[in-house]
Amino acid sequence: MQSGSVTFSRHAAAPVNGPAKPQVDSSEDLSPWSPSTADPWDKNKARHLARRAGFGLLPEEVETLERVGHALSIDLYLLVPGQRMPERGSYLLKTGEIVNLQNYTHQVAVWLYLMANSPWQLQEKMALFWHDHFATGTGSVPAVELIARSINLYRQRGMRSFRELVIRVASDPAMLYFLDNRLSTVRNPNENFARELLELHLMGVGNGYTEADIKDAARCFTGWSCAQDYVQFNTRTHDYGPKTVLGKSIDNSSLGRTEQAVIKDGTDVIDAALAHPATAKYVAKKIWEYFVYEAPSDTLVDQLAARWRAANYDIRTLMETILRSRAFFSTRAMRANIKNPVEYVVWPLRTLDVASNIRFLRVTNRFLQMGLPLLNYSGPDGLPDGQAWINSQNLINRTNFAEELIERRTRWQNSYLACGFDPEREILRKNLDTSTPVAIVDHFLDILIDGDVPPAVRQNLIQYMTATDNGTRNWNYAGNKTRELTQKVAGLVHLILALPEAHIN
Amino acid sequence: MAIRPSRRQVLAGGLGATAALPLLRTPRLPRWLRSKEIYASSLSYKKLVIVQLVGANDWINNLVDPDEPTYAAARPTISLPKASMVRLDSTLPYHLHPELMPFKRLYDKGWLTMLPGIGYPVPNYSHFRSMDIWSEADPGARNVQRGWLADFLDNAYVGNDPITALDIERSLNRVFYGHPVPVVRNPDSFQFETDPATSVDKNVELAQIEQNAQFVRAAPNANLKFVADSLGRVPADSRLLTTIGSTYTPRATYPTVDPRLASDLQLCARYITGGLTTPIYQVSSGGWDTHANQVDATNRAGGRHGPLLAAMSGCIEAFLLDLDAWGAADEVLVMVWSEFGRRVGENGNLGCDHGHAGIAYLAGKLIKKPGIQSPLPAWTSVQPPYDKANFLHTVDFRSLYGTILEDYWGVDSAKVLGQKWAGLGLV
Repeated sequence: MQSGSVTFSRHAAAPVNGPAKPQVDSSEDLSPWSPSTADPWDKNKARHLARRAGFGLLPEEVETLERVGHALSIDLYLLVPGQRMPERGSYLLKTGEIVNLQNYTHQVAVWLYLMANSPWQLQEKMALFWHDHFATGTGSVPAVELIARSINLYRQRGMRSFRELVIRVASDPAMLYFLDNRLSTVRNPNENFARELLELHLMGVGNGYTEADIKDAARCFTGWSCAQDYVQFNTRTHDYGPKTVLGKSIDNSSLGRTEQAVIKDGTDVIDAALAHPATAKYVAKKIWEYFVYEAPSDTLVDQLAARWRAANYDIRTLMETILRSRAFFSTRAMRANIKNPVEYVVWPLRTLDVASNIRFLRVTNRFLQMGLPLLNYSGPDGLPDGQAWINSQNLINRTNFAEELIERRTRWQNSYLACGFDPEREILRKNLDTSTPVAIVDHFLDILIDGDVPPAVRQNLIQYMTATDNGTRNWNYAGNKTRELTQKVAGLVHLILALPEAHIN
Repeated sequence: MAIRPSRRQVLAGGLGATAALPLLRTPRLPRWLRSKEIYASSLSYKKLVIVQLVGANDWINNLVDPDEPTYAAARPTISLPKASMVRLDSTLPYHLHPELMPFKRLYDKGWLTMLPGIGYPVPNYSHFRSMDIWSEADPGARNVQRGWLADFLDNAYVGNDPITALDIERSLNRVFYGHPVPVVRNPDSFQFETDPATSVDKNVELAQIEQNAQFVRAAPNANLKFVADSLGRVPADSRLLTTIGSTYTPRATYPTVDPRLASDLQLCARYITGGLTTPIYQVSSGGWDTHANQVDATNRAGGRHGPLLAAMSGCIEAFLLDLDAWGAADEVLVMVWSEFGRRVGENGNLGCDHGHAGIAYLAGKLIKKPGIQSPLPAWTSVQPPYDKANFLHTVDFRSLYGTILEDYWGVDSAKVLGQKWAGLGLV
């Protein structure tokens, strides 16, 4: 399969002259990756791109990416139109479900629906990242619609200027509520937002700011408030005195007691932090760990941060550097991360073609048991990624979601709205050999987890296809045995989604 | 100034002399060998139930002398009126928050120890950094690599409990980082399901989920290995945790103000009374970050803080009475902590910002030294402006850990904390 894919690729490698170069470690190389005979563009790389820059693809879409080559595939992901979604009222999903956007669970369902169905996958993935980075929750925000509005902000601004994004977030009602800044006044400056702005949004804990910086930054943001759901820059509660943040003196008294002065004081804090070397490193490292692999070297982070600052903190440029890099396609990055709950839930919906015909309110109930309180973080620091998602209760909840996903004619199908998983789809599409279970097992292992399992697991699954609790059955699915075949294929998919490899992204 | 070795470096073999002679370090014996040679019989550890108050409990409004003039001066809108408070006893000037009545009853029984002023030398006002410091038991901690209880389980614990600790939370607590333990919230959902339409395959499917996770991976990266290890252990844990204590019913009335905390502690009670020998249980309560509306403008015992204290103290009292009614209170200690205290003065939003010294509580029938067992920070030590002032710590949080390790479990605290922290003789 691998050598064949090179032939089909429009970006086939240039002929290699002379002896093959020894394999070098590309895991820290930010220069653009291009295919070679030894390292071709293939389905696994296309799926890697699809899982990281999005939430996976249908098998035939993976085949398309394989055909069009890596450069165009990455282009497709970088296309982010920045469209808004409805925040209020009610909404009809294409699954036939009517959702009420005042309702928290319904809002989560709409977002899961979008992540599973949106053609702009990186837009949703980036929004998911920024939502964790600028975490808010309904605990201190009066309405979930306000948090939905923040997600729209990330959709629209999440791939543009980081400076503008941070300013928008600082003046976003959800954030003004969540970190109490709407109450911060010259007489009673509230440090909560200023502290988390430096600590969590920009510089990272303890990275070069002092308590005095936080106190003065809090004074700069006094008067950044909101009335119901619109930002208000209050000229009467702002502290116009001179301040010093990160060694930079901030004094906009020349602007008078105006909204401009209120705004400028706040944006001056953000600019002071953006000029500090810690900020680009801290945020770029976090993005790298989310999209590529954990614990990158300081050298790599320094390079990435330098490029990002040179690009004036343009997020799209940073993402393009990352997705095109040799490091992104290195063995250190491929199948190295742990799926977060959204990735674990949305990926099979997309891969198994149930994203448009499943009941998302039901998916949401399952999803909310996996440890990620989407739209409802309790603390401003988001949640730790990677191994922190994995514990026994969450693994049980994930695996039981996978089980419900493949159930036929039982729970999903008690409504005519939902058709659920069709076990015959792939068999018919690929005209798989059903005379033995081997081709079916190999095909599903391939499309779901890149075929990356120990031989003993593969043998076990083949064995499963022919066995029942009552003993071994002969593999004979010709003719009228279709119903047993589909039941076994559904069970097979459940067992694959229950493998440790299924939690690896 | 000499570089202070971190706790991690000390445990890893230390700097200086030991680092220069790495060959002198004796390799650790595998656990099965240690337990056979040194400890012929299995040890049964007394049980520790940790209640973490996430967000920083404003301890000043937990326990205060309301006649102290600076208290009212620093907190004109959030100080508690003396008349509403609960006096601890007639010999002391200190009063408890009106909603801490359950703690007053525990105090009267001699079941409650208070450690006001608990903290660490150099204040850190970040929740996350401070939780790292407490969780790693290292004042220099930045990001938790290994929690102190992970080190207890790996370096000091010698029992053979099938489950060494249970985390009754949404996700693994930082104190267990490095030694993952089962995270359970609802035992009924703590098992794998199969398709009811194909029940003929149920057993083979359940067996495959378990087996397939346990096959050796050729060259797993750390994440795959971690997932496979966690997944492979689930079925055995599931069998134990879904069956043990299934006939438990509470024998005390838990308050309903925080149903989550009540049900989490009831789950602890179910396992403890059901005979699970697991020594460590972790639960938590969130929402303590009271920058605003800590008190209600018209009712200072209300607001956000009052109900939190009512739920916390009420659930702990009910939990201990429940265990006592089951005859299991003699082997259980509850430890309550929060990452730091709050600012001396209020911030003008009916709340207060992050501070330094906090308070910890120990509760249980086996308390030896009840009452206030650390010096209260002195009001004379703070000056206006009070919204910028902090109390310094009067007792190091590692003394609390030393108390648990040395006094309660009888293990060498140096093995866990990197240096000896003598216990306070409280239990």
